[in-house]
Amino acid sequence: MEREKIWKLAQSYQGILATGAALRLALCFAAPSLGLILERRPELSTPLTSFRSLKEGVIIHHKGTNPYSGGVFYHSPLYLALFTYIIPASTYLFTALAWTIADMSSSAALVRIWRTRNTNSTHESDWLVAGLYLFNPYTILSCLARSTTSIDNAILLHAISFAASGQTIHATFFLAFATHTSLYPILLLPPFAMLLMRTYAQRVFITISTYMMWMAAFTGIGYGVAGKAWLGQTFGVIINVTDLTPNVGMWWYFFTEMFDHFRMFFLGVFQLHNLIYVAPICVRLSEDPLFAILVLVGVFGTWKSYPSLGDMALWAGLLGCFPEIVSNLRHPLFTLTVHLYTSILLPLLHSLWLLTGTGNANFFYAATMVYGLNASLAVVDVMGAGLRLQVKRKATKVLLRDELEGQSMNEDMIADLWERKGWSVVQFTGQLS
Amino acid sequence: MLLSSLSLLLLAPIYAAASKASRHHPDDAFYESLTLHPLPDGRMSVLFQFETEFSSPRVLSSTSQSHHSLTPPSLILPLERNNVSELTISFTSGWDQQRSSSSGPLHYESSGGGGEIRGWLKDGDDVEDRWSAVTHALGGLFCAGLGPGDSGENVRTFGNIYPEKRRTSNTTHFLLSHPESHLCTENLTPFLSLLPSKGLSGISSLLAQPGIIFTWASQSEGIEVLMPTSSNDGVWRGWWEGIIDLVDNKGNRKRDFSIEGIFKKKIPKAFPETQQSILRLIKDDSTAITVHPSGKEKTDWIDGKLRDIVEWDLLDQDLIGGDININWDEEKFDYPRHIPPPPITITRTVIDKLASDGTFQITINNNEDIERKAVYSELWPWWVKGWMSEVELTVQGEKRPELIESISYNPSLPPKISTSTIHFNVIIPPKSKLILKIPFSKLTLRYTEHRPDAERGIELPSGILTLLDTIPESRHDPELESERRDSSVAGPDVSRKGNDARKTGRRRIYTNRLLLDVPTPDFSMPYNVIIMSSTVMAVFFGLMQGALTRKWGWVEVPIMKGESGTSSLMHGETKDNKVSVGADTSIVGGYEVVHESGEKDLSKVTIEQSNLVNGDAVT
Repeated sequence: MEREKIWKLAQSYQGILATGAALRLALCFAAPSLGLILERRPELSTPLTSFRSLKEGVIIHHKGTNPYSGGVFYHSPLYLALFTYIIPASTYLFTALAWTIADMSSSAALVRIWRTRNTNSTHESDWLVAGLYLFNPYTILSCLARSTTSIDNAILLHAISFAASGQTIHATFFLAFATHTSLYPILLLPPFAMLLMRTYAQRVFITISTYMMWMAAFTGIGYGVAGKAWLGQTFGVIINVTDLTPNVGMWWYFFTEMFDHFRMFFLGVFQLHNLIYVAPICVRLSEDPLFAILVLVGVFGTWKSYPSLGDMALWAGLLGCFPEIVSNLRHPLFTLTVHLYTSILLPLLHSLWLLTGTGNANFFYAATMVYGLNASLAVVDVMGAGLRLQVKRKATKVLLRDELEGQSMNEDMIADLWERKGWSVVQFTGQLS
Repeated sequence: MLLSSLSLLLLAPIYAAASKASRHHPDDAFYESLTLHPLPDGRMSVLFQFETEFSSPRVLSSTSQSHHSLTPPSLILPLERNNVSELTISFTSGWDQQRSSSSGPLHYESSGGGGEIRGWLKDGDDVEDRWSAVTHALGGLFCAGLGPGDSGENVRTFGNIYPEKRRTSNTTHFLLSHPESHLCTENLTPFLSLLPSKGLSGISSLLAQPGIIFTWASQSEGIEVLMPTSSNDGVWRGWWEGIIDLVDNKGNRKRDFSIEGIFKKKIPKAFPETQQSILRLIKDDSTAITVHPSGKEKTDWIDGKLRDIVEWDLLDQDLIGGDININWDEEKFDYPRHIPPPPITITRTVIDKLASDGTFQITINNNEDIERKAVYSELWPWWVKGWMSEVELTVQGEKRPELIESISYNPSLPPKISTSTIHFNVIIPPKSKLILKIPFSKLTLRYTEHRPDAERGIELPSGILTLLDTIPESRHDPELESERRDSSVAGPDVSRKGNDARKTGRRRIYTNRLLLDVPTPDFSMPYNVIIMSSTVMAVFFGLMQGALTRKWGWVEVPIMKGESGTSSLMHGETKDNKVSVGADTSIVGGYEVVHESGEKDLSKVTIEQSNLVNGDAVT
């Protein structure tokens, strides 16, 4: 009887939230040394998101020096202000609580996104969506490492959730905030505009102008906190990739090995590579801007200049809101197992090179290649699944109207019908005209 | 003597006519000295010092006079031209652990390990360029690269550590450290050529013997130039220091030595223009030392101790061509069980076993009963990133953050070539061992930024401990002496005996250099990395582009018993069936694939465009 009750509670959103918070706080306070070790893992925090750098910057700021005047601190001035004046970065209790709260609010945002996508269903799957994010090992580790990626994720998820529910002011506020802290969310502005446009067609102009307004406001705060120097030390570093500390991304070794005279060219290529997907994805997936956001988040989570495992956690959490996509994936098992494989490979090869000093840089590079390739293939798989689903829905709507027997379309039913008919969606390789 | 005065008489009119051209400026003067300092561990410091006073730089601008000046134009002209007011160049190789009971070389201006050039330049818009010009010019003179590889290597925050000797306003301090430089035979010849005696006569002729000098254990050389001002003459000083073993390992257990024994030369004839040529022996030992012939005995404050000194005037005609013997009053030399440590010692090591991170551990020992005030300074290349939030200071295992009075931190600005400097104002409690820990990370250097021998590692300049409470060594200066007695800094308990750690000209104590190994990329990989990373990118782009632009449709695959439809299609086992294919959405229409019966090869599947099955309906 008791067990049943507990099981029921665990399946409720509140239960999951409480368990997630308890797990985080327990790990934070039972094993503070674990946090210290994780804090320095390059897989979890890059120089731009590391808590160690944040603490350093806050202390330098506290001493009256501008932390942006040297190459020490790359965090947004918003974080500098937040962790100087509101949450003291040097107090373990406050930061542990802050990061736990960030994850909790991320899960709340995810649940809101889930509800806007499934208006007809009851709230019984909320716990699963929240649980998928809260108990993702990448999320937990990022939280324990107190990487600011966790906070970036919370901000971005709130932006998406407000956009999904059509609240322009809130959505653009959080999107501008996310842009300020990690720059790449700026790529989400077009799908945001499309999403907000659905409720009111003239929203594009309003969206863009409020976004600009918020950006200006945050920039103003930045100037107030740290003068002018922060621009080059935050956005400048993200764009120019001057800090080559190893991370899980594809950039650091490439630009370590790059010949100086080609550096500029390849910087352009790598940055444009993130940018070029925005327009085609928005056009192709215009029917479902939220799905376009999912794909774009996956693209820049993999290909941004300083990615970490926390970015993958964000994408995986967002993917939890799209169960119909997950069920149409081609190789989810492959993706998952390669993730497992890289989670062993990355720390192992990193320690061989940089800790024990027995291996060389190629070891870790190989591991990041596997990670990057796997993440890329996963994004393509999700994208393909979305397009397959699109075809299925359309074809079902037109061809199998009778068989639906007047019932409203439902993903399970479609899948069932297609299974019975022996139909499957294919992508043509030949040119068909 | 008689002859020279006779010739002066006879040639007086000619001299008078040519005096301006042929004689050096009357104010110019040259002093030289050789200091021998036997150490308690059976070694001896040998220090050559040369000092030239010169007057207004205008004298030098005339070529006819500069030929006969005591000062070398090759040294003075670049300084004059670039508006340098003071300049010090120093090269040191491995003094560490070589001078027991002393915290540094005998000459106080010697830097830590490697090469170092520092100076004060008069302000102006082009001060950086002038500094660069003067360092490059003098680099040629010393057969060593002294100039900055990049302007970011110049350090400007060490003005308080190396204050001006002569207070002039509107000057900027520059420091450039070259910890990788070595002192070698190539440096001796240029050094000698700067001297007026050119190594041909006087004390410099003892130095002009590379075969002897470079067998010595550690070396330090340097020059210091103070350019003339309106009120002061210019001075340039040169020094060369080495450490020799008095007790060799061939069975000779006595420390006794003579000048001829060390230099394989008798006391040389003095350089004619020398005002003063002195041989000095610092008797700093419990064992009695007898000297022959005897010299002038006196006591002086040297490096915190009142020491007995014997001096010989080498201008004395009786000594020239002779020898000086120094003998210890002992049967044989026994290595002492305890060597009294210097008042302050400092060492620096890197702890942590990680290859990418580390912690500087600086150990400062105060062996005296007095509290000292000091500034500890570090100088890092840009790729060393210190973590100021994790700096820790412990005394006897106890955290004592209050001993750091202030920290002044000037971080570098990667990836520009720049230098981080950091100054800790610390209090060193009496009789204590202070441990300062500074964690740091090594940033990843670009492929092109590594040295050709990257695997060897990169040297870091010495750390500098600057003592703030030293009192000048008042040599025969009753005024200073009384001043010291009055001052409250010197407590009554320390001034009574000949031992006052603060009474020293050594304001700066250097740590050893450090060789840090840096994580290297694979230098054979650039093309491979470019190719492989670009391939991953291309794969992603290709798949995305395909997914976004290609057409999607559907196929109907009859369900076979025990096998899924798709697999049968994949294996081409559909024997006699039609596989219907639909194309969707924005795409044209429907197609029908007719599989020729019995045909197993998929390549032979013909696609026939047939009547639109569902095209109109879909769009």
